[in-house]
Amino acid sequence: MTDAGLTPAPGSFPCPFCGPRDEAEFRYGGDPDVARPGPGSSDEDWARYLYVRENRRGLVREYWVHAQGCGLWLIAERDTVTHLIQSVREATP
Amino acid sequence: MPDADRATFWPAAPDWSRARIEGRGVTVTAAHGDRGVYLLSGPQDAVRALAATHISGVCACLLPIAPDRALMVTAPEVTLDEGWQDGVAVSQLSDAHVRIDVRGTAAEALLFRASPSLALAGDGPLASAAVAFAGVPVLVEKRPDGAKIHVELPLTPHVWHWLLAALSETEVHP
Amino acid sequence: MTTGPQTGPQTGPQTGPRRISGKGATVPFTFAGRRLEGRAGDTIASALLANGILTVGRSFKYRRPRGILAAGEDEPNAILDVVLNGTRVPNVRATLQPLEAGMEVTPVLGRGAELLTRLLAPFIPSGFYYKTFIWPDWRFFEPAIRRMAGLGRLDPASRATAGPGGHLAVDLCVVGAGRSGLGAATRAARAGRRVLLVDRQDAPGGASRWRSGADIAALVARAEDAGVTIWTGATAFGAYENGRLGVLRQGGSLTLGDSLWEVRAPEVTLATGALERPALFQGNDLPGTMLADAALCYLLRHGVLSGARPLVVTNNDSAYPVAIALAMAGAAVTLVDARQAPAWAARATAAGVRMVVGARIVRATGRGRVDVAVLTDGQRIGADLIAMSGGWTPTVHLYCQAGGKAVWDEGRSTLVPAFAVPGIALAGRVAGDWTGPEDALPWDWAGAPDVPETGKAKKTWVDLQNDVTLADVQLAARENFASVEHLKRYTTLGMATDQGKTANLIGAAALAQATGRRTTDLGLTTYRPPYVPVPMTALAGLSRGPLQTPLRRLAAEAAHRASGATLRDYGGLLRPAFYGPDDSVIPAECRAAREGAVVFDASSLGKVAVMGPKAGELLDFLFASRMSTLAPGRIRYGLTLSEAGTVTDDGVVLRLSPEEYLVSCSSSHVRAFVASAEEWRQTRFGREGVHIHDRTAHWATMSLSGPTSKAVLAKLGIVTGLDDAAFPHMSFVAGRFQGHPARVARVSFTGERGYEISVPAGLAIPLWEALASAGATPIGIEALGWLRAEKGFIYVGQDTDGETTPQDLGFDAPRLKRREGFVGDRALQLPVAGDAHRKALVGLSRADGGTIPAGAHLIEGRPRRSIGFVTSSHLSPTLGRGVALALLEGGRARIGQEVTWFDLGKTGRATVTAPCAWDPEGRRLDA
Repeated sequence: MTDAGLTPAPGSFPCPFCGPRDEAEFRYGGDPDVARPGPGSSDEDWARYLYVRENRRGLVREYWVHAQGCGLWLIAERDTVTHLIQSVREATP
Repeated sequence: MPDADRATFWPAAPDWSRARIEGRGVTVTAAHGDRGVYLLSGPQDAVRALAATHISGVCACLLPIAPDRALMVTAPEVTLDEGWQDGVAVSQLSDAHVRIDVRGTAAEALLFRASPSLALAGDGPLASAAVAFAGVPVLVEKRPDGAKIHVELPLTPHVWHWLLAALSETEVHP
Repeated sequence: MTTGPQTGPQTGPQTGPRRISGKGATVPFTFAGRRLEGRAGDTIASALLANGILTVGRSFKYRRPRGILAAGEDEPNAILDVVLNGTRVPNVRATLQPLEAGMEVTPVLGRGAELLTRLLAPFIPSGFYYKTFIWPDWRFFEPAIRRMAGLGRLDPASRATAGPGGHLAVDLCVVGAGRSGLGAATRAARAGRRVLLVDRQDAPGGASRWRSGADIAALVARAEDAGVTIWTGATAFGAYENGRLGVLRQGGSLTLGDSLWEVRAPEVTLATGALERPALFQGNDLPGTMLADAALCYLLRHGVLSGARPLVVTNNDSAYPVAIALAMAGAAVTLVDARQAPAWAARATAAGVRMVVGARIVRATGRGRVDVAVLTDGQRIGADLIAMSGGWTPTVHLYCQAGGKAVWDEGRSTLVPAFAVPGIALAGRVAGDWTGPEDALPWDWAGAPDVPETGKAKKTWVDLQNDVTLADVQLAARENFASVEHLKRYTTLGMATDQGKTANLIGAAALAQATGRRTTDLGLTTYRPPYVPVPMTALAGLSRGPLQTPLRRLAAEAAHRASGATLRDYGGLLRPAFYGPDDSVIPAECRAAREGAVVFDASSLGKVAVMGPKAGELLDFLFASRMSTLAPGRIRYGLTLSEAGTVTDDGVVLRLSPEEYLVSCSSSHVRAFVASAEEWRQTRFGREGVHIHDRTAHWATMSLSGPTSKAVLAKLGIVTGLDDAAFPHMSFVAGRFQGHPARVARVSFTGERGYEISVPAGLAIPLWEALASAGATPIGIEALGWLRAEKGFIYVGQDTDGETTPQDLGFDAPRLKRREGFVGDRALQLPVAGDAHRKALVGLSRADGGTIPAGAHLIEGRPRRSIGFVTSSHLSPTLGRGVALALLEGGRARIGQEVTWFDLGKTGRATVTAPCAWDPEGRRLDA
């Protein structure tokens, strides 16, 4: 799917399908790089999957869902210092 | 559970077939249950093909929602089988939405106020009809002098009263 | 004209503020019940001064009389309640609010003797509430102290409104329409950019309206010609992320309400000027002390002479035009300059101002107002106005809010930005540019904050609004609250509604002196929006009253209202609580449910279609029990869990066809279920193989149940065969109602025989009425809750908490079967999931048949420990005794034992039972 433009209008979020939309239509969806532990995983693996997250300064990958729009699950690259979004694309399995 | 009887706090919904707001350059009307409405999900070309064979009547349209989702509005006599139909998921939503029709010279300003996303999109067509409007998700069908807002029946009183309140406010700035 | 040196107090006939010039339409108003007249163009403050009003209120803590200090948003004292056209608006800023005819202005005085407060004063220094009034309970003293403090009164009947507000996107927003702001806006507009210029005053010009000889009209005309949009009465109060400014626009009238605008501007220029600092001396809070710039503003903008014998005290040049203007207006002006050889002295003397150099005020005295000032050189000067200029603090708030940092430059005695913030530019006085268009002499406006060592620190005010004195700052320093952030919280300096605009810098300077450091080393407290108070009505906008939360309604709501239902908000849905004016009707509804046939409106229950080749796989993953094995035409109950294994919802799934399922989840959980299903669909299963449609709004569903429900249903003729063999419990059949497709499912919420009838929503009321005519009694949510509790049917979120797992509810299969591949699967295998002491769902029964309060704790041990709590409780008409459900540690092992309950001081005993108190074998389902 296409990458949305960078630096969207202030207060908007660039949905790859809908275009720039009011950011209130979107909801944070979690960390796309936390893999769900498979069968045979340890108790610690599962606890880490449930509760342990990184809190990185700078560019991070995030799930965002266009909840009050097209409903697409998206993966965005966002800078946690400037809050600017660098890229957005549709999430896939 | 809250204690107060909220029957008076929340005003009753009007009769949609007769409801009307007029004034300040805007006319707002509503309609419910008078169209065949179907939600179609699947590959885009399959959805379009299915819609093409069933769209008929005046005001029929296919509103895009997501890459694999669209709402078909067609004549009330048109019927589709629900469920998984040859790779397209079909659901009948004929009674699910009320169509609120907002028209007039001041319609655009009101619509932009109700939906910051519509304001962002400006004059252009909407890639997806799904936007937030008065704080709730709706489907917007743009028209030359306004738009038709497809809102879920349970949320229609809220949107209606929002439009009424917005039009009742005193404008004090030019 | 000068009247020569004064040696003692003088109370001539022209003492105090009064109007001396200008013209305009008369505006009648009242103050504390007195009828007064102002003029068109007045603020409330200038009108009060014009009428000679000196005391406008009493201070927060010590209830000292206070007068008008400033002319703008930095005013700490003149905060008044105003009634206009029957609407009471509290906490109006007199210096910002234009005067309107008919305003009834009242000072916020508070109740309680002033004498008592004076006596109490030594016992209530900074932080007194950490040290005193603690025993027996602070809450005992708080109401009395609040009453004495005197806060604005809210009128519950007031229907104050907000203006429309909205969003605006521009290329550049310029804040402040003074000389610099108008210039910056005009230049940008001429370069083709869309420019918005905002200014809080009622007309553009900024401080140039009473300073400098700039031709404002010409500047404004140039800006307008260039296409600049100018908003007056508009205050930019906050800089937010992503280039957004919050702007508060005054309505055309006090009662029309301010409106909130979100301005999106990638570029912002702040031409916000600077705020004058007051001087520190004993008695510097007396009515009659004012900022010098304010005195000039009132004189030149409103024609109000704030005093006949003003004493201007300064440490910089900016007070000289003030003194000269006051003298030219006929006042007998004395100017006291802390510097030895000020450059403007000769000009002042030529204008008739009596000069005193190298001196400061030690103290000002007077009974309730300024009367005499004593200088450092011993002189006593009679005055009815002290106009102070202690230097200027650039208004850098929005720059700091946007991520900037302002540092105090010791050499230049001003704040300077430490670094540039992208998108924010500063222009004019806020940037340290103090050049005027026609200034021949250089203008030294910098004045270092002067912290006196003379005079009583206890009577030297730093923060007027929160009544913080120099002694409080020194106390904080002694108690080692040496950081400005600690100083702020300990003394409350800068925490009042004026956010320390006239106090923060001098407070920091005082703390620096008290701790032997430089002001620049202390730094400043964090600047946070809003810059001015923003009314809650403006923030709410249209989101007030019934519009605050979008509430979902039932299609048959009109029928429920007509049947006399009491409607309540249940999880965002407006539903009938019971059919009657009060809850005394609930037992009758329950009896009807167990003895006859009842109907309740279940339209809000979810009807979410999951379709496609992978539909079964997805549902097997979402539910703790397998759904793909469900036969078409059948219904299965299931729990959805979080990944932590806790129960998030319970519902039923219908198998409509091999690739079509319908999930009926709890009404308040529909959106969450759809969201969760979409999450797994799009991130795990793939979008092509399964689709999720929320069909809830299309269908109206009425739940008919009770021993006679079958007969009632038969009368409607919706389905042909109701024989139990062909239509068993937990199955569904298709039918027709008034020519439209319908579905009837055998599901029970009450434990009695039950049928859920679904028709298109347009037929909701006809179906409801048909059922009522056929003999079904309507019941509401409250009765339903009682009936469910008697069966041990849980309400997720009421009978479960954030830790409850399936096995806690008696559903051992998900954990014991060790099936994998569903949400929460692994969590059920963690050691904690198998702990015998987990809280499990049980029933409770009192020997005397009484009820146990819902929410009561179950306790044991010494000291007593909570081992659980009561989740549902009612007096059951079915069983003739109290019925309760509870979550209890090791609950199932305790069945048959007694347990102690505790609620608000009362205790009692109860026996632990199985959760189901009625028809445990479930025979009544087929009765």
